[in-house]
Amino acid sequence: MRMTKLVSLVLALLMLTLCFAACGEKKEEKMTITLWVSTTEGVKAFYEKQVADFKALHPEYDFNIKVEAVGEGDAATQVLADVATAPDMYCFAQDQIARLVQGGALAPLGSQAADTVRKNNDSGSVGAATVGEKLYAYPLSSDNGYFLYYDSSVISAEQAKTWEGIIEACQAAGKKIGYNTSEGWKGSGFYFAQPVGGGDALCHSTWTYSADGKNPIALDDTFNSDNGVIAMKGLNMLATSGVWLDTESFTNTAAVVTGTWKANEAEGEYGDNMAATKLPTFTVDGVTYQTGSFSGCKLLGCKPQTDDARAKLCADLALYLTSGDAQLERYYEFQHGPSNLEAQANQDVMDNKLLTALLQQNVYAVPQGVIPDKWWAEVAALNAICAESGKTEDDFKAALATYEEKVTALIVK
Amino acid sequence: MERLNALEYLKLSKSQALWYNIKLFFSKIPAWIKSLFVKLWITIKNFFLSLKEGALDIKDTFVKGNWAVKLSFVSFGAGNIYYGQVMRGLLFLLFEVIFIVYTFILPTGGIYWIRKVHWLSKGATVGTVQGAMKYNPVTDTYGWVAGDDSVRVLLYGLLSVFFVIAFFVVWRMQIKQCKINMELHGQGRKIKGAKDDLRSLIDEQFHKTLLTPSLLGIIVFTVLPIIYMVIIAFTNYDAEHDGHANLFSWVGFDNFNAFTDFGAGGLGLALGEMVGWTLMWAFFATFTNYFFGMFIAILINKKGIRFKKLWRTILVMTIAVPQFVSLLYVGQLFSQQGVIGAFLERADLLPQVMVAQNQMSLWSNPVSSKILLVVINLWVGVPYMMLSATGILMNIPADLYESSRVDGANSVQQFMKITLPYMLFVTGPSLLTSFVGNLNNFNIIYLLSGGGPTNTEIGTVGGQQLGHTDLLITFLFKVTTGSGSKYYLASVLGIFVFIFVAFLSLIVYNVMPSTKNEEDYS
Repeated sequence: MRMTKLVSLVLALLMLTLCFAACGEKKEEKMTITLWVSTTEGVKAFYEKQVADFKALHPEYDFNIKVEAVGEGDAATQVLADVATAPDMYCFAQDQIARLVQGGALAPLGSQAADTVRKNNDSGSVGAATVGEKLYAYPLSSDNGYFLYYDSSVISAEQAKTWEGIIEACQAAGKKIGYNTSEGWKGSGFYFAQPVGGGDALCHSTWTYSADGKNPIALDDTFNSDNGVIAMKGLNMLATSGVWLDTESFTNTAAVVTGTWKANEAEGEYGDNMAATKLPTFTVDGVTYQTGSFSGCKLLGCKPQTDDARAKLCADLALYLTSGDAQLERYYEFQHGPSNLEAQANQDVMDNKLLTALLQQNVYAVPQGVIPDKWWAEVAALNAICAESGKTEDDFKAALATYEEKVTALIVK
Repeated sequence: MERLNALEYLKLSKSQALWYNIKLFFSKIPAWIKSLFVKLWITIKNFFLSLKEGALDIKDTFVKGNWAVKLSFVSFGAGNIYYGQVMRGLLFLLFEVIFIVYTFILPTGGIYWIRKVHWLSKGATVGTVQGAMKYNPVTDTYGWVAGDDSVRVLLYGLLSVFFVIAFFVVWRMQIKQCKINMELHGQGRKIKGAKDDLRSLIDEQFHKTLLTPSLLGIIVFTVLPIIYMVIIAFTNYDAEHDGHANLFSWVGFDNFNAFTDFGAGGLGLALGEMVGWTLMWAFFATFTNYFFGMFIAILINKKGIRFKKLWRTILVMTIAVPQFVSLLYVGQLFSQQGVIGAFLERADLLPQVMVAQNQMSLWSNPVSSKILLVVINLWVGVPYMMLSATGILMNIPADLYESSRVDGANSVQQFMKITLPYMLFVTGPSLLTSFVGNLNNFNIIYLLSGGGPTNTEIGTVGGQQLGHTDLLITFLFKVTTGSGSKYYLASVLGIFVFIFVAFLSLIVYNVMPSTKNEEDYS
């Protein structure tokens, strides 16, 4: 009897200690920098190597590095969950910069670092890293745009120039077109379309941020107009063609709108027939428009530190990791398109098939500025209406009016 | 409504009897609700009565007590020490000292945190000092000058309040002990010393020893977080006010009032849609599983069925595969790029209504995706029900069936009069739990349809697109993890889910045969 009591008492206490043991923290002597990078196979190991190179170059810094793979599309959510315990440095796609700055998760660049970044990178990526008046991040790559992959055994190069041609080819071959318009970033392509032969884009949506980068204070947006209706009609034509899929996956498709990060999957599905080009054109009411897009980039950010020595180390390491040489190394290893001007001028980079397609599309692309996060859902909501058949011009107008009401409400007065 | 007596009831035709029963059921609902509130009222009344009694008791102790007892009203444990309980007395005293030091003397102690929280005063921030960026010209870097973190301020404030409550509980406890000691002393009986206390803790009071660690665990890991989450509903804690870079503040009942907006995109309309579907889903998911599981169990149990074990094994196979794997897989099968989805489309098997609306997979039409969810849920859920039903069916006394057969009952009558009442009696409570479980069945919905298809009529709600098959719980997940991270909205939704589930459970539990006629089958 006593034994059972003793055992149960020990178990009860053990349970309690186990519960609290998880809360304990260990103190470390040497400075440890945590860095989050893309989850793509091999990227983590490659960054570890690049950091080791940095250490060899700068013996004055003595630190441990912990590289972890966390999705670049998801970084902001993870970081903002608790900034205090977030990693010191992290890679992220530029669309998250607004909420990262607002959440106090990005330290602005010092004046020297900012000068270096401005001088060495293309204007699109510098713009993407600027919120309000300051630079908040280091451009890593300038390939975060989308273009058209297609299967040249199904679609001819001529057909690939127009959505109508692609639809026709896919209908004939029983294949699908993948374009996930329910994602605001890709789905806004039709609204940024411009008439073939020149002219302004159908619509634009430009946000201005307060000087401290925390709040959107003004918006110049022309979605709610006759041009917006044209864009919706165009998308509606594609979405109700019977061959459209709201997806980024290549299964069963002959054409997919996505970016360089899907290169392996495209090659696996289409094999030698894989081709890439700018986005197609579409015709509404007799006028032909070239589908637009966002051109964007990936950025490396540093968390604001309470210890200035640590901040300095992070800043230097970030500059090194985003330098032209480091970007070129990553191009050779992973085909990441560089944002560094020198690296862009490299012959191998200029010869790349996918980057060429991206560059072709970039002519019609809108450099993605800083956009509040909720905007994407509103565009997706418009596109959900485009995906329904039997919609009339009035439906589109009503949807655009709702859109305007909702995005205007995002402005902080 | 008018009650019929037994004779009148037997005169009714079958359909009339059914109609009568349905009317009877609904006419009882107001009475149930009334009794619920009466019970609640009695509980509250009893609580205040006991408070009053306690106050009288304290007064009594003070009046009758000697100087030591009177002293223990300010200095804990004096009464215990006076009557020879030195250890208890010192422990009480130690608690009081720790409390006073933490609450009033430490610079960042109890009062500091409690003041910083600005409890529920509308417009005030949680925490007072805002963190900010600062430039260091020497290293040419921007650093962070830490301010308050609302999340932590609120947590420490709450803990401090808990500590204050604990202080009063302990104060009351030691006064009670003084009274007991006084009485024992008056009767000339022995008062327990330290040795007796310790011995009794591993003997007749052993339950207290065992329960203390788990009770502490429950308070820290369950009660505290729940209270914390409820409080969040009265703040504007979201991505823009994350407590770290921007302190969040109290907004009173604004978050709840937002649910009275029934305009397009208003939360009221969205809530109505979600609650409707959540109820419908829970009803169908629970009862289809229940009855199908039971029928399969009966079928397999029938005399003359061969290979019983084989049939059971085949069905139980679905349990062997982790549920989320099979759900993701089956969800894909029906998508436009999946085998079944693509087949349906190419073979022109999709209903014309859907094709006309450009809904080219079963997941893109609200009705078909709802049906598909229920059916797939049936597939993954039936084996569990079948297993438990098999056990219960074997437990039904065989003589009941035999005597009914002698009386000329056919198998349908046997099922309706013997099997079903027995099953309902035994499985009533588990049926209720599975109903509540289905109200919050996140896995099935999120992994299969992800809440979709998008409800284009309502549009975006709280920065997220509401889907036709979104349960309260999946939408709660979307608003929390999505771009806006509206924790306050999630908290309000969580409170609604709680009220909803508690209310339903109480009503259903009260009408269940298992609780009403407890003696029936014993």
